[in-house]
Amino acid sequence: MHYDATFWISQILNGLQASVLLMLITIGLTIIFGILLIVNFAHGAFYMIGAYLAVTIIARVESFWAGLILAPIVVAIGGALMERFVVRPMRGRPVVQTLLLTFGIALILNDSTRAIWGPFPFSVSPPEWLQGTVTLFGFQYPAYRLFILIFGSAVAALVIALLEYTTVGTVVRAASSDHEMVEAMGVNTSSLFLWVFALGSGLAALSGVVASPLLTVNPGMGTDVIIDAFVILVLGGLGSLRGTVLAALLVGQIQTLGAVYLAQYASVLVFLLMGIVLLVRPRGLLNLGRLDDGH
Amino acid sequence: MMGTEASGVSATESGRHRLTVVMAQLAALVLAAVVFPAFGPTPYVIKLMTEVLIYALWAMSLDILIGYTGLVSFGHAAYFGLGAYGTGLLIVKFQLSLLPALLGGVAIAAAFSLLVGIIIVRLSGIAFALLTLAVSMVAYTVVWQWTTLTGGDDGLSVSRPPLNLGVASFAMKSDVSIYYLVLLLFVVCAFLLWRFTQSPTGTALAAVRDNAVRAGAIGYNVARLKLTSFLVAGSFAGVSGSLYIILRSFASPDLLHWSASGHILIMTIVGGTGTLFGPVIGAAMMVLVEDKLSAWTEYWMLPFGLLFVLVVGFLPGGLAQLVRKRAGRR
Amino acid sequence: MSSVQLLRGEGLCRYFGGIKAVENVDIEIQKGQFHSIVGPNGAGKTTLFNMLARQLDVTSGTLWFKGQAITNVPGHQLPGLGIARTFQKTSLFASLTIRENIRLAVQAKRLPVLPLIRKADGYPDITARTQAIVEQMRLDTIADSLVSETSHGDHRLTEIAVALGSEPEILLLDEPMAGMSATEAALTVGMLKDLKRAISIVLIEHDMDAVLELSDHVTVMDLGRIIAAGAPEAVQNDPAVRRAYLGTD
Repeated sequence: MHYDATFWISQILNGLQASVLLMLITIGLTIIFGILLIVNFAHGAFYMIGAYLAVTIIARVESFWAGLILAPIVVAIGGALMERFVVRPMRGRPVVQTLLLTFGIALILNDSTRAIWGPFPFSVSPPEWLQGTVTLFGFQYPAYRLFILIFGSAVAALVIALLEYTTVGTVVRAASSDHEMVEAMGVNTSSLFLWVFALGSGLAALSGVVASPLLTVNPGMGTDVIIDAFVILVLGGLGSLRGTVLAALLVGQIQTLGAVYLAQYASVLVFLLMGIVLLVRPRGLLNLGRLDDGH
Repeated sequence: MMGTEASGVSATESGRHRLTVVMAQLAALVLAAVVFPAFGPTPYVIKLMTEVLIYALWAMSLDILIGYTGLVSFGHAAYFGLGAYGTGLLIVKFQLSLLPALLGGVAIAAAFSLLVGIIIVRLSGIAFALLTLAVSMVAYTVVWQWTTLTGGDDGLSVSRPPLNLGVASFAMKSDVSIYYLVLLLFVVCAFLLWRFTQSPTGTALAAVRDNAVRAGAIGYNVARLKLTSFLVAGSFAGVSGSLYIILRSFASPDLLHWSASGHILIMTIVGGTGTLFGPVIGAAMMVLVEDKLSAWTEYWMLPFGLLFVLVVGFLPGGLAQLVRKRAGRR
Repeated sequence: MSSVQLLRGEGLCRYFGGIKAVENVDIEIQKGQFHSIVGPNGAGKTTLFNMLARQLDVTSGTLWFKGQAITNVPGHQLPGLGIARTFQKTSLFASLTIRENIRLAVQAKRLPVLPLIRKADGYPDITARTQAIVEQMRLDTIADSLVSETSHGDHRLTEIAVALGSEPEILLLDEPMAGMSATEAALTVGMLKDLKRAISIVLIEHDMDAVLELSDHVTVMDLGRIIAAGAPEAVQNDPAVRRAYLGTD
């Protein structure tokens, strides 16, 4: 098949945009793992709930931006509640049990979402000025996708900068590699964990809101995305921020370009990659992650 | 890991007495199951009971992994589905009769679990769980997308083949005949699984579950034991899958999806891991509750989700633990 | 006294990245010997111990057991050869009974091929051997209790009992008396005295009284190297040893 340069550029941009959405989700997942040592199955549900809340908010207030700001906040609060009442009591237990627990929560959230909003998909329109196309490199590219790319990268960059360059961020990263030490230094790890969980969940919801005009908002979107998120988590090395960003870039591109060549089998490629990494380089592609303690 | 009992030798007097009581109760249950069709239940109810047995076997096979070996799998549906599709394809493509098709389907599931197991048993914990998930999704995608072979989304329809036993051939068209076939195989498989858990291999798995490092230090080849467990679990899941397609005459790719793995995981854990009978209870509950509630509401899973969360959080022995408390055991 | 060489390490080194945890250690355990390895914290004793137990690979060096090179043999094959070990942090099968813990070790030794259907309690020799160890270690009263129902001291004894299940010629004990009360420790010393008649023992311990009372040979380590080795009295008075422990001569 012969495609011209325009096609390839737009595919790569699509891949980047997919990566950015995935990045927002997985940054949250990876810092939650890094700090709390739990793999949160319900993370995909937060993404989905973010999208659904945006649907409702936008329907009420007729402002996309209201949805963009409010939905993540609500979900972040939900995340904080989950940390406080579900995750924290499970501390000290084998990590696989927490994985099972969050899996159960994900199921409950999925079914509840379907019960509240119904099983039929919703579509969301992007704001007027983001509809249509823009001229890019001499061809037309959807404006909203470009917005995702720019906005998403900005948010991701902000969060990463927060974690890398501020005191709070340093504490978070220190706690991620040695939280006993950080506790001994007098940091209140309980509230730290709460905030981290809230932040991660909020980011997932933000990704859901941003994604909603692009995809249809449907009850299966949480489960679709959590698998991808896990793959990225593993590829990047559990707990490694840098690795996650790179893995998200990789997976986004593989999915988009893979869809061109391999159609539906693209996901097989991604899973195989995850399997290989788990076996050969359990610390992730960049060897930066931590091996799980979940026996 | 989760709710387990003291396994191994039970040489005391009271132990033997208890065993006799349990055996009597089991015999009574089997007898009840055998005479049940004589009380004139509708074909629908017979089919339902058959399904209960099939899911119960599937859940027991997962218990071998989770309860007895300490390995949590998020992808156990793959072996069920491969058993179903394997049997189905053998019937459709090669016109095999029931027994060879059944064995063939099980062989396919077993082969796949061996292949996966060899690679996967070096891991444990989260890495293991995620890899089982990935593997099952690969299997799902292949079955779903290979439409020329499997029919893809449309599923695989098979007509029920006869049971040829050399001396006689049974058409197996009636629901009651399938019910008895499944009941027989269920009892045989449950017995085999029980004996497996009480065997030297089975008891060694308890060591692997409780402390894999120490198990290795006292001389067990932990990787090989895990592989054996994985193979046994996958094979018996294959049996239930094969029986499923024979019962329903239809299989769809959803059987391999990770949400199906989730369902069987819930059945097994809510029922109570490490007991073999716990998962039977869990499976029976889920099948029957789904049957009753799905007429009213799409959200029948919600109470199970809650039950699951409660069990994981507070009742590691599952419902089996409650049953045993009433029976006076630890 | 016979000086048959049982376990020997030659030029053993173990590096973790830049850290030289064990550096060029030669060690020899003879048949019938009670050999203690001591040294201040961080000396490398545990690392050396884990290398001997094949739980850690050597970075360089060779290991021999009864003349056979075992440097690369997988750890789970050691009990079959005749080497058993205990763990400093009690490492039992928590959901099982004391008896079952021991039986599993005996089973591993006696059944090279594990049947899949035969009943595990259908082996009278395994049952008998398990009972013998239960009696030997005075665990009779708690043998059928769950590990989770017994005390720390009982656990430490069970640790050793499980290792005995492997019918070892050489027993590697990692701080068996850690966390024991004075009474329990004294009982353990007595028990070890009984054991040493039949089995060669390698011991890591901080309890110097026990070490001096039990050992035929003491190896002292510091900073990854051996700084002294010999009979307990000789080692006790060695200036290098005093320096390492006390910082003075």
